[in-house]
Amino acid sequence: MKKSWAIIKKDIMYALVEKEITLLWTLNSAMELAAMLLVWLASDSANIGGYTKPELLGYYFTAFVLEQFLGWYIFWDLRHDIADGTISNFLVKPVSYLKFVFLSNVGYHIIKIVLHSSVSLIVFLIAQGAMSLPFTFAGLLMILPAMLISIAITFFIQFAMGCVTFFWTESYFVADLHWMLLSFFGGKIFPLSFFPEAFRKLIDYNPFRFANSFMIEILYGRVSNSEYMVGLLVGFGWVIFFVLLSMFAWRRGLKKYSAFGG
Amino acid sequence: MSFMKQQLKRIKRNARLFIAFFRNCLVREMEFRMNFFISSFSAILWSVVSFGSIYMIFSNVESIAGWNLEEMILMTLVYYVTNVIYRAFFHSNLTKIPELVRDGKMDFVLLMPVDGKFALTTRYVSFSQFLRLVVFLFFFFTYPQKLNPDLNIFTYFLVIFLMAIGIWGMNNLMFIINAYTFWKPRVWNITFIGDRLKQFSQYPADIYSGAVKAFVYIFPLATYATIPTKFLLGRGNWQMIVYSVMLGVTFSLLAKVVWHFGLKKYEGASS
Repeated sequence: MKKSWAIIKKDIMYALVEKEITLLWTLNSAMELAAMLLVWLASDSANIGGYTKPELLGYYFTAFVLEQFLGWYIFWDLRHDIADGTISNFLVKPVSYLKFVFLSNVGYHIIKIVLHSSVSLIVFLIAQGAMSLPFTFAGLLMILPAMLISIAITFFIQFAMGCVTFFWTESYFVADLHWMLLSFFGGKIFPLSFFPEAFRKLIDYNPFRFANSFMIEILYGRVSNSEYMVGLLVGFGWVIFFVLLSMFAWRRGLKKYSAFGG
Repeated sequence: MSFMKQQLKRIKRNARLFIAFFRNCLVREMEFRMNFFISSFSAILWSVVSFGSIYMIFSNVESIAGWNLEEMILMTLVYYVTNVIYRAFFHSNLTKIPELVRDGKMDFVLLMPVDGKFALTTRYVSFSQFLRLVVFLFFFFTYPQKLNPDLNIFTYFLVIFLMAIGIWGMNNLMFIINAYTFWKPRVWNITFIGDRLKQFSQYPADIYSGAVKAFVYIFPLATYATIPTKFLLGRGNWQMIVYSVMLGVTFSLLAKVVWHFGLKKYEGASS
């Protein structure tokens, strides 16, 4: 417990010392939100893909608020550690690298939540008249397991992606591909209800939906009780898949890994 | 030597330098061909996702700020042509500024017997953008005629000139943003703010209002894609041309001032 807290504290301290870096990340997310809200505010339609305009604005705001909990982009940490050889430090010590990366990001998220919440409050106060946030207490409770699934899926997808660096140091394209798929099939650019009905069944089972869109659909009452249960099961299935993929990629990667010096 | 002759000599020297950089980058890129093909493929895939997203959005809305699907596709096409050229020639150089300042490697740029700012902003060329540029240019020269049958070669020359002005302005804006690291060397992620700011130029400036609209017109964001697109649609006027040129010149001068004062702040890595 003491070790875990030391790792968490390290990243909290880093975020507090490098205040400007942390603030700029928050500003980066806020600007992305602003751009999406402004685009949809300018739309001339009242009903957009099953959402009214206020609901759609609320959709992007909700995604922004959830991002502070769900955005576990550990690929860059792994990529840097493997490419630079820093990972060797962990391999020769009795420290689980997976645990270290997880706990480091817990520390970072604590600060991110504080900053994001402040920005979320400001955006809410400015734009509350234009947004519809029809949340219920039951809905807020229902998204909790979905959020855990989302964090697990994102974390292990990113971990598996990072392991590609063992085989190919120029692994940026993997991050690009992930971001593309998450944006298009995860509901980041537009809600998944925009897809034609013929594709919806396929889209509903894709892992990126559970990384982002599923929670928002629950909050907006777009998911029935049976769909909710099925969704949790499918999401859990994806978690198992990505955990196994990560472990496989890590073990194969370690066999290939070599470092010099130290 | 007269001023004009001096400037001509400087331009020739910079052109030779750029050709040397270009050749060097091409050789490097061909050493890692797999990387080149994967990066090119990834870039094209992003473009497909972008256009796919527009199509998905417009299958659910009639228009956005009066811009319909065809006009938005044209806007996105112009944005991508401009952005791909910017990314090919300038983006990777400008995003390296924080690293060069923080690690003290700016010394190597400053020690070169050439214009430091020019060498800094043109050193690397990203060839992975070229493949999709070819694709986009094909559509750039064929698609607009569907929306504006009155388009002629002179309009195209004007649009290309405006796009060049837009790239020039964006280059200087991104330089100013990344040069913030002269004052705060540890703030390496300032480059992401630049990219996020550029995102505002991806959409027609007409969608913005109030302070945001002013913001988009004060900074060279509307000149990047909105104004060239308006000329392709036959909605441009001479005031837009004057505004674009003046904004480009203003930000060029601002970038020089920032460079001058930034260098005074730069501490370097040597004793």
